Amino acid sequence: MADHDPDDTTPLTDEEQALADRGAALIAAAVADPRTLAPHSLREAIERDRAKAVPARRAGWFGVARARVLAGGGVLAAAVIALVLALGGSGDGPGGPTAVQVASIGRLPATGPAPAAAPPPGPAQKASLDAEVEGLPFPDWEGKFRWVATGQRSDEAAGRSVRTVFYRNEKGATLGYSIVAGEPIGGAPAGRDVRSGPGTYRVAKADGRTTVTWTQDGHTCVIDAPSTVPDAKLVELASWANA
Amino acid sequence: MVDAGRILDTDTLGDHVDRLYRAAWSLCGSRTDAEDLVQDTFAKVLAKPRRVRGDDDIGYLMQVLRNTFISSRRAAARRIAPVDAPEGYEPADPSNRTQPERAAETREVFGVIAGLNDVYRDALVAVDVVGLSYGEAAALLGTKEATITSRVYRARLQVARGMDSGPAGVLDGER
Repeated sequence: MADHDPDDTTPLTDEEQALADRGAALIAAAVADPRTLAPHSLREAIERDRAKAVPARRAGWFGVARARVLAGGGVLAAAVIALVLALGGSGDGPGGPTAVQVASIGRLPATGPAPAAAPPPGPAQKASLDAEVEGLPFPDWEGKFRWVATGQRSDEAAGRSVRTVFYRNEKGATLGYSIVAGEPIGGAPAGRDVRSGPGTYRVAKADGRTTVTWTQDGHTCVIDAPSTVPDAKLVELASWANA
Repeated sequence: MVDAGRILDTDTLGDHVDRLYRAAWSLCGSRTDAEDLVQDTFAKVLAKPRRVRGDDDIGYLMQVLRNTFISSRRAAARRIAPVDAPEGYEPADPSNRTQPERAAETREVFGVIAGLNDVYRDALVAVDVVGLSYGEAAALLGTKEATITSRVYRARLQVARGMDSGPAGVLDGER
């Protein structure tokens, strides 16, 4: 192969094709290996660089900076989110933060390591992580959906505890899955309701993000993800957790 | 009508880090160098507002990554070579403890890809590692889609052979 013309489009022989298929399988397995995800130190370094770049651009690039604040995700946006959560404007439900405010937590950085997988469940039980809110566990989607837990954080929002676990898929998309302690909250964002199995899921889109909100075992659960993740996949993830 | 494009949204850059990191690892053959390459790439992208066409953020980022890689390799060739890490050295990774054989195979696959001839490697990284379509890869690499298809298949073939003979055989034969 060393002397092969790289622009040669001659078809491979059957033997070569079989080897190429094996090569493709080896590469696919390597790419799917969770060890090939970017290390946390690299993500932190990039986020630091990005945070430094934001103020420099604001002076001459106001429109984009404003969009960034609205979209959330950076340090500036994180500060805005933290302020909103601290002020704790409650929704029209029975107190606590709104679902929109909870969704914004899913865009903040993780502050703790990913929860470990819980002990193997029985044959009729779904896999879960060793993290829960008042008995409601976070799902372990790695085996079924290849969304791997990458970190977690705990917050207080309008007087309620909110725990969030972050997951990442093979394409590098990251979502935040938050569970609010206490009674279900109000303030679900405007969107469409999707029925799946026994549950109903409010799917809403804004600023390049998709949020899915539902009530499970008496708790409000919120997934916040980039809009590049299909709505149907997010509802599937939520309904699997809610099965 | 000319497509003026849009400003690259830096808020969503984090969504692409894993794919770029894998691509960088496939180009460099080393996780440490891959981290540096990805960080350098993002530093360039963040230095000023960038205009991109359509939704092709990952294609644009791959182009910057590849250009940065080529520049760094040229610069390295002009410098005195640093002392290499001992053969087989890998930074400590606690996640390797559970599946050391799989971890070794993953490293070996990326090592073999890094050792391929540039044209095969670039096509394979764009399609199989980053997940671009053949058309997107052709646009990125400035060649025809049929050429990309042929290069990807031949690169896969070389990876399978390289894994049979070990990375050194591929390096000897292809570079």
